[in-house]
Amino acid sequence: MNVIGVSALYHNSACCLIQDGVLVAAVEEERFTRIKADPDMPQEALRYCLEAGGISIHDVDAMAYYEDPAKKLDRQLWSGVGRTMPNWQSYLDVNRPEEVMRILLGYEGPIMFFDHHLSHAASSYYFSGFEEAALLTVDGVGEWATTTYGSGQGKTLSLFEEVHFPDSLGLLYSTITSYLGFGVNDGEYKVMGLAPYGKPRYTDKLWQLIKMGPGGQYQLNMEYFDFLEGNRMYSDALIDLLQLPVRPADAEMTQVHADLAVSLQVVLESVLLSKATYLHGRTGSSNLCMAGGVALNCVANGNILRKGPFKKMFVQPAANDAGGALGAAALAQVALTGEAPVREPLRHVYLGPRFGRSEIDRMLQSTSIVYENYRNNTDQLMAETARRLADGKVIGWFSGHMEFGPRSLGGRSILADPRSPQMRDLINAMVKKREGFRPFAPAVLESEAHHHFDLDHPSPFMLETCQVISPLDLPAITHVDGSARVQTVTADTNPRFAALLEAFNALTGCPILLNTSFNVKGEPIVCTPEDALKCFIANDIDCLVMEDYLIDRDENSLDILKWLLSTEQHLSTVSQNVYTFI
Amino acid sequence: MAQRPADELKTVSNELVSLLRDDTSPKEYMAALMHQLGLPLSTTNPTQPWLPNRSFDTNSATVGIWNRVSTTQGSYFERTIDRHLEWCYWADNNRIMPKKGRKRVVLLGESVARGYFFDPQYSIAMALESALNNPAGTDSLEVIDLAKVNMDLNALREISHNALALDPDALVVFAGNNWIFTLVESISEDDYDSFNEVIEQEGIVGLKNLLEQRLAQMVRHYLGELATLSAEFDLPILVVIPEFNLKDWRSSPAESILATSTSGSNAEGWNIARMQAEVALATENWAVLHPLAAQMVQLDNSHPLGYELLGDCLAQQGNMTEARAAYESARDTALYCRTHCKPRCLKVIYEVIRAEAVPMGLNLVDLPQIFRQQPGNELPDRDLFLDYCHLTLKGIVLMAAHTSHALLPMLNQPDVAIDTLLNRVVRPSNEVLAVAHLGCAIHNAHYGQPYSILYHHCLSALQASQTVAEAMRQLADFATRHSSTILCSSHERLVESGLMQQYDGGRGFLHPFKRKLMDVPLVEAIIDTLKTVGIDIRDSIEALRLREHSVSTTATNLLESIYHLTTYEFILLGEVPRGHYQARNAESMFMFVTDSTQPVNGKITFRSQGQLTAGQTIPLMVNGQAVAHLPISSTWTTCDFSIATDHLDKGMNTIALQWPVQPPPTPRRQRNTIDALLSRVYPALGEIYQFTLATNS
Repeated sequence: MNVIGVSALYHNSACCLIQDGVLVAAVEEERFTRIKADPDMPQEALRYCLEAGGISIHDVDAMAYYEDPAKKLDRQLWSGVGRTMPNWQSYLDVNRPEEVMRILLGYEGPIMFFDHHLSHAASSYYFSGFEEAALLTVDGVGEWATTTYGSGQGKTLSLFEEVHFPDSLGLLYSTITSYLGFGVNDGEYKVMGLAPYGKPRYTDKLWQLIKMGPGGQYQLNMEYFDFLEGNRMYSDALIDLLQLPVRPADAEMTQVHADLAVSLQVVLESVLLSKATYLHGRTGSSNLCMAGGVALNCVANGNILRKGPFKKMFVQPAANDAGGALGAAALAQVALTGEAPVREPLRHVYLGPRFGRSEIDRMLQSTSIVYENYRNNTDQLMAETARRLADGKVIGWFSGHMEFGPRSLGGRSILADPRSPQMRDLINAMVKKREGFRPFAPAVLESEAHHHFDLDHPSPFMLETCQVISPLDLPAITHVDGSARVQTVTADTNPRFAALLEAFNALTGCPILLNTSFNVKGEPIVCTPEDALKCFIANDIDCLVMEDYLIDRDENSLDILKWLLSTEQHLSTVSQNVYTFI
Repeated sequence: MAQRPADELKTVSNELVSLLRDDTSPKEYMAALMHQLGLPLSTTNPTQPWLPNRSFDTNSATVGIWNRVSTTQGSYFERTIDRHLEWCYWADNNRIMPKKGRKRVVLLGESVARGYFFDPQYSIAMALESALNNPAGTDSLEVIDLAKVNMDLNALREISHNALALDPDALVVFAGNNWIFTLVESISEDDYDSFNEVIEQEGIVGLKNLLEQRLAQMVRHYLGELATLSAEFDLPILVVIPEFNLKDWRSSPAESILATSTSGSNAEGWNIARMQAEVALATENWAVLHPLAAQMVQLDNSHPLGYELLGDCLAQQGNMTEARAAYESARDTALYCRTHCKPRCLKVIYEVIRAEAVPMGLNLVDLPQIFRQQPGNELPDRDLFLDYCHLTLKGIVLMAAHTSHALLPMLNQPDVAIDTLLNRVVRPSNEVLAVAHLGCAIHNAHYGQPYSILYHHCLSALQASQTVAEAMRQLADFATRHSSTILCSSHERLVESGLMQQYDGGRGFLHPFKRKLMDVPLVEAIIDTLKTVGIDIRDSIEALRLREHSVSTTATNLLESIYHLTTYEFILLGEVPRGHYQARNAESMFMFVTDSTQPVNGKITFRSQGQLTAGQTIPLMVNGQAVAHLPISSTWTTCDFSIATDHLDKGMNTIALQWPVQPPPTPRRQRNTIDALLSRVYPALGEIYQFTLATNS
């Protein structure tokens, strides 16, 4: 039984394959097209999933889509969203997702549609390993629902309450995100990173934006929002209320912005804790499964687990819309076979493509790049890499299968020494080119984690924050409030990354590395060896480790290639916007 | 602040969604529901006239990429760093100084007017200025170069006005090749109903007529703007009509896809005639070819190939007038919207200019007429053109001399004989000439031109100067490698050398959509021409091909661009690319490399949307020989096959599928968009989801 899950046509399109109940592949389309948050139908992602499963397109028993187009259109028509857009009537097509799947993906078989939040809930529950659980999904909006409450029991999953658009915690968070000068659906995690720098001076005012209702309900005070008109998120009334100018995207970040960010975080955590407590009361379960974009707010998640009634929590690592593909596929699996996907906790998300040594070797031989080949000498490669890290070098790390979801977890990572006081600024300057206030995350050997972090359980997906308790000084990964967003690593799921951490520990006594995603601002995480090499050349990363190959920037003269890549970027931009005649 | 819509409206939206599921739902009732929901009902009207109404500044602070800089001594224009990414499209000129003593001619136009392939080392403006000035005297005239690569009609309108800020004594407008793209850009979803109706009633030819009318309006509109400028500012304006490489430019694969839906069963007949015509052409049997070409035109007058072959036959007979008409018809099939064609000045454009420019008070240089009068150039070909529209050195010299001849009296200068002007025109160095020919060989290759043209330009390059030999060797190397061109050391060295600055600033080897081509015909032309100067790289390139591409136990994916794309064009006009390969021609050709010591095993997943008979098969051809007949279905089917060693060549091999040439019985439901409409006219005959080759060991 081969079931393909698809999420697409809004943002973060993705595809996955559940084969005989086992999740064998999952990947976002943006990684192939190199268009950040690519919303288009996941053609390349599907092709990879089929290849990973060793099947062809006609071997797919069903394709599951992550939302119900009719319900979504119903909500769009009611709310008038898009009526100010040109050609808005061309969107009045309930059949569009199916048509696009038929035409662009070439798929001929049955297509099943599942509600957006049901897909989110399933994406968490069926991969949690729990036999039963309470389910909480929170995002901007799906069809009508923006927050749902449900329960899972064995292979059965049901939602018993919904909060409907326009009342939405996700849209509340996005509105303040936009107010703070960050992009909607893109900058929410920046607000979360900014929050620890602030004092919650605006909470009283922000509580005027939302009114708690009975049960799971809450309501936004639409006086303060303008997103129904589709032009901006906040209204003039919100500016009057906050008495704080809207921050332009490129303006200086000041204390008041951090104050607003933390106030929002406080309100969000309070609402979520309250509603999680309600959910616990309704279900009686001690296990909580969460998904939806708001579930990527790891600070709020930690708060729910620490202060709330649940004993265990599972957050699906690709909790955003990309993960909806997993849930839709799992629901189709249950509908078609009567059996849930294999009931094991998701152990890793290395579900994307990997590339062979011969492919990397062939590429490097075509270039002028000077490199070292450590084939059959992994120990020495790890030792050399650890030595460079200890010397303060920033390493591009390309190893094995690519991760599914927004976090780099040692497959496509940028790594550095977390003990260096300058490292955060250095990486921001050379690669990430992002706001200086945002923290970097640590990866730590699972066996050593408890010596350095206030963490009593594995955290393989970097979705929880905890306090740093390390005897080591770790300024590059410790946030201003003493917290860190930890990834625990084992040889079981990523032997090479674990071996590197071991080597670094052996050399320095520190089993921790700074681990951030292998991309530059505005681009998706690298996928192929060529993507990795280009990212290495175009930025000032000191070394690149691709499987058995190690490249030192110091050993190479990369100016011409760097210039050419900037040219290619321009050509690509031009090609996407206009057709060149020549 | 946005008001929360009333809850009662949820029943309205819900009912509307139900009605939208059914094409037969009552439109008036749906409109009433939309009204209740506050949704606007009217669709936007197509914009008329087809060029947007805009007011332009004749005293602009910005002219192209140059901004006005004011000083106490006056003002000049300086290239702005903010637009440095566009610099390569314009003249390599940092400052345009104020006019001092000399009369000023401003040249406007497209890449042809830049002297594409020669620029920045040599340009039309240089040629023109040299012709305008008596080498024995002091320079009394200057030419300011405002021509731009990729200049479309709207940008041309703007700079025609902005150029007045440079205080010209005359304007020369050498443009028209890119106006078809402004026409294409004017097509929107609002055109769907009228396009659909005209195709239904008149067939695809109706679409051409409709677009010609629109383009004629655009041309008239622009000429009117020029005439107003000329009258208002007492400024002489000279319009130069471009010509097209009628005899040698051949439609590319994307420009020659089959139309099946509107010509019904004729497509099958057309394809049979095509196959017979190809045999006749190969043996130069003109007597057989002529009626076949005429039949192809009759069966599908939207397709360029029939006209091209007809032109060949007529030219062979010495009937140049009719041959020209046939070639012009081939050129103008671009209006059938198969793909983004290469630039060209269509008949409708020059007819409007010829008829209306002079009566409007504009001056005219009719380059097609001038070229036609040159001995041996009754039909424009490679002697005058480097590709479709860019001029050879001979073409540039002719253009510059005749334009100068027309300009001098407009500038109150004494008349000068054409022969004198021809001699005055400055020529580039042999090294520059060599690079121009190499650059155009690459460009011709990337737009589907045959080996004979590629060989001609490679040889011309080497004959001009052997300084390009190393560049050719490097080109053959990076084209043959699997890795992206931009990463290859041979490409890096070539860029570093600076030799190819004339080809898009040295960046002309990068595919605009990051696809990779193996460029086999070009590499073969390079190998063959290098051998004429004593450089033999065949063995090394063939060894590299084997190393990089030889089929092995790891499957070779023939759907990778490097194994099937031969040009930069790969999609139907505006079409969203599919997740699978689509064939819009009768044959799909792929390339693979083997050492031919082992059999090759293949796997293909494919389907045809054509009308199929029970048990129908299609031939699988390897190096022109059928090695299998694959059962074909309208749904995806996977077939395994094996190719014995005796069918394999060491090195490069071809593998091809021949599709049933029939339209789909019932086109798959698609949204009412222009793209979908064109896709129905030019449907995919076959589709491939997976196509791999591997060896056992």
